[in-house]
Amino acid sequence: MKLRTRRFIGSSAIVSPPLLWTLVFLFTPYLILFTYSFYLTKFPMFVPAFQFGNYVLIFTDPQYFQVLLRTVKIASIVSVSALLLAYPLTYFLVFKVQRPGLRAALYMAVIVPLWVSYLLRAYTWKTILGSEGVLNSFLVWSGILSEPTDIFLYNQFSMVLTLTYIYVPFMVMPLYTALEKIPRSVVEASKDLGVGPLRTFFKITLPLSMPGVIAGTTFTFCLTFGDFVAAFLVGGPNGFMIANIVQAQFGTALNWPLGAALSIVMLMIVLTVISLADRLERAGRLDLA
Amino acid sequence: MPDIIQLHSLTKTFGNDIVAVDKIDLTVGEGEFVTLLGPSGCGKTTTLRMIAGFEIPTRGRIYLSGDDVTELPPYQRHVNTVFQDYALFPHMNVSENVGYGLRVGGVPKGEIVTMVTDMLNMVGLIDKASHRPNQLSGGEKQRVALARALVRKPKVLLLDEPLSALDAKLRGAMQVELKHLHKKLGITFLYVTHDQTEAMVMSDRIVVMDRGRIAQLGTPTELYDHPATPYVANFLGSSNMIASRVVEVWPDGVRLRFGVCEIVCGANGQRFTEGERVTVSIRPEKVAVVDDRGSAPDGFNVIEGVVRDCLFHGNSYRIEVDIGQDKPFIVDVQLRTGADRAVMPEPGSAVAMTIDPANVNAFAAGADR
Amino acid sequence: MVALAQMDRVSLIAPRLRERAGDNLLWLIAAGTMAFLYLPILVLIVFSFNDNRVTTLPLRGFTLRWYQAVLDNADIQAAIVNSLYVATAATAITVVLGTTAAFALDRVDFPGKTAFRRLIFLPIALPGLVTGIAMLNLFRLMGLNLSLETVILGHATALTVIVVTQVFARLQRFNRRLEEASGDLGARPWQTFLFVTFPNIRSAVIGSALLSFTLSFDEIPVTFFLTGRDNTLPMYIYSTLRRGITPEINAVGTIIVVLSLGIIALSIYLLHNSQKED
Repeated sequence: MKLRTRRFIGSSAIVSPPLLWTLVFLFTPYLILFTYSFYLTKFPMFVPAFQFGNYVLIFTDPQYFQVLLRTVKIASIVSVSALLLAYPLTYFLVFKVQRPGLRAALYMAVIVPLWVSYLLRAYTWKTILGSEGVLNSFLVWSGILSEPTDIFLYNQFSMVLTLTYIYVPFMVMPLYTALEKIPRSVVEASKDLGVGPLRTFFKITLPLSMPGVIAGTTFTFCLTFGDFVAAFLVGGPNGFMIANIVQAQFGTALNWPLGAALSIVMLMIVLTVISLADRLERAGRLDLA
Repeated sequence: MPDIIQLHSLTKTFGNDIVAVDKIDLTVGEGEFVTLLGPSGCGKTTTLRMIAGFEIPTRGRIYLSGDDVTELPPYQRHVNTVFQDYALFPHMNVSENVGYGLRVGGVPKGEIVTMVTDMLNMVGLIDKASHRPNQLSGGEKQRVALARALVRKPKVLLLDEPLSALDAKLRGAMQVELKHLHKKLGITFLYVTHDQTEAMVMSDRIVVMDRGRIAQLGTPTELYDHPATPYVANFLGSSNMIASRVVEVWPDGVRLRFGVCEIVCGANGQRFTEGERVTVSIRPEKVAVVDDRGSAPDGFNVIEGVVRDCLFHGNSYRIEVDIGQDKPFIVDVQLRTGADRAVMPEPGSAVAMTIDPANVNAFAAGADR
Repeated sequence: MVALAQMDRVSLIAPRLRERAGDNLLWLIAAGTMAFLYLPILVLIVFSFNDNRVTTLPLRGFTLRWYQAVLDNADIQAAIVNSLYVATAATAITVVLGTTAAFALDRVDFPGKTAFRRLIFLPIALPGLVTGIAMLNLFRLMGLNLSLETVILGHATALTVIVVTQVFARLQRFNRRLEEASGDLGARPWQTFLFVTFPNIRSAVIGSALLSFTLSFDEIPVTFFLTGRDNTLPMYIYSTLRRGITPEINAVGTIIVVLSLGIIALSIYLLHNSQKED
């Protein structure tokens, strides 16, 4: 057999399975979803059509639009809070922990819980913040409160708290990579030139770590944006997010076209955020190598 | 001596415009040590890789022992390669590396052990048999790579700049070792290098390559004494290149003039015309310094000039002479006895130099480089 | 003269003190954040042994009865078995698909390569529920009933990217001359893969497989929409939580947390080592 033919057969054998799988199970489903978003709902079924009614509904009906805004708001707050907690921690790990073995161990200690049951970690906040939970019982037992309060749970505060908790490790990962890349000599040069540690941070370290900040914030935003588990556990009637509404459309509401349209809107928002972040990162890209 | 490798019009293009190898014709006889010599990018490594089977030729055929192997994958060709970075398997120890080819070839385990042990003894690495590659020095890795290739008793051994990663002293020692190995084993070596000394030391024949083509093919002496183009003249050793003009033409020679000087040399098979511009190539060590024009031997060329500088090189000295051209004329004089040192000329003094016409080469000015 | 010298010394100390104070503050925040990260896990573990139906302080006493309840609960056990089945099958698929895809991306130039690369990343870039819903639509259109098998397909699709990225990164650093040397020595392509290529990418494959397994075990958004009659463990916990908190959840949770921590630590160790292999 000719060498060239042999190589072609080999390449095709490697490329085909994953390509086919992606076409069938990724590309096609998204295409179907996109198509359904234009269909018309005739409860309890839906019929093929090409109309923008679902999309119009999403942006005009406060029932949907407000939740969309709330979701964006919560996702943004969570991203910022996670950043504010993760950055000092990561900075401390990278710059203040001298022994590489200890640093690696601490880094692992931060990252490992990330992969451990998301459901359980969110659930524990339910047990902590509830009126019969750990926090309340502690406050009552120590005398700060006379009786348990229910302000901790089932609202936007508990949502933000839980989601921040979940995503701090997510934020640490890209920050760690970005901060590690900064050559120490640059920071030392700044100090050598008489610039104090705080100004050095704001003028040198922070800008150089921007790619990590952008990556982490974007990632956190997108993941929080699509969350429905935390809302289900600790959100309550005021804390549910757009994902819960989508969930309902495919559940009891049986409004698949609307659900599809909502999904596409979510998809678009997330893709926009990602490409914005990409552009930001590329604009400020510095070659540290 | 039967031909063991034949390349017919072998061509390799990358993309649409990069011609790495351009219609190469070459035959290598069994048991020869042939070197492909040239700078990086001249196509020597690509040619070697096509013979090994790692690159598919765009056009042309490759024959090994008379069989057309152009379409065959590497594992069906009876050649073995020693790579520039040795390519030792990092997850196997030395024994396993050397025995790998035998193992995948289905040789029984007992035989593998014997053959590997013999080979390791031959390259002097038997006590490192269970070491991993990352525990070896550069020279040792090199020998493992050799052993691994040779244990399969190939008819042809392909070597892709195997010594380039070693330091100068080790390289010199390995060159001699490889030459002895070649004599001892009697198999064909096809060697690739950019180092002209290496090529001259080891090879039976050298193929000088330039931008995908063969510039000249011959024994080291042939190439050194009678380079066919300025490129070859400059690549092997160093040369004085002087622009001159043809004054007189004979059937087997020419008289040339540059400045006020006239010299004669052989035509080397080229056809010159009067008035033609040519480049003259004279090797620095072929020139002798004499007291004056009259002391030159009969029939020898004489060039006169003024000494610019005289540099002591330990076992020789190098004189830079101003002969009225933009570049100085270089003469290398070997110092054999202490007495020669007294003759070192003073800068500023006039000097006469003689060269045997047989040691002068002329090329048409438009010739390939 | 002396007064001046003293003043100089003070101006030297003050910024250094400030820097030390800044460092201490940083350490405080960092430690606080670490504590924040581990507090809920601690709560989970502590209360799984607490002799109380509700998670309130003060602690009542040590008991193993919640663990006993888990062992007696047939539903939990069925869910665990289902999850193991799904995770194993899904991981097997991701390893085969992911390794193949990594080779394809590393070695072959094919039409649609960039689109392919972007597509594989979508399931982790986008909200998981969108992928779940999209695949639900597909299955419904194909007339497939929802079952553990549809869950497996969903997990495989969403998690393949993990194997792809890790194996691809390893392949990029793999010296292809080794494969040429192997072929040169007479090894056929399958021999080269088995004896030379795979041993060098093995830890990347295994590490990412372990990661994929653990994530499959915990997967919710995609699973939610593709589950049929049989529940995976997260689905079981999810539906139990809908009815209210039961202390067995703490026990099950602790078991899962401890096991996952172990597997993940192993996976990261292997992946970290594969980054160092040469």
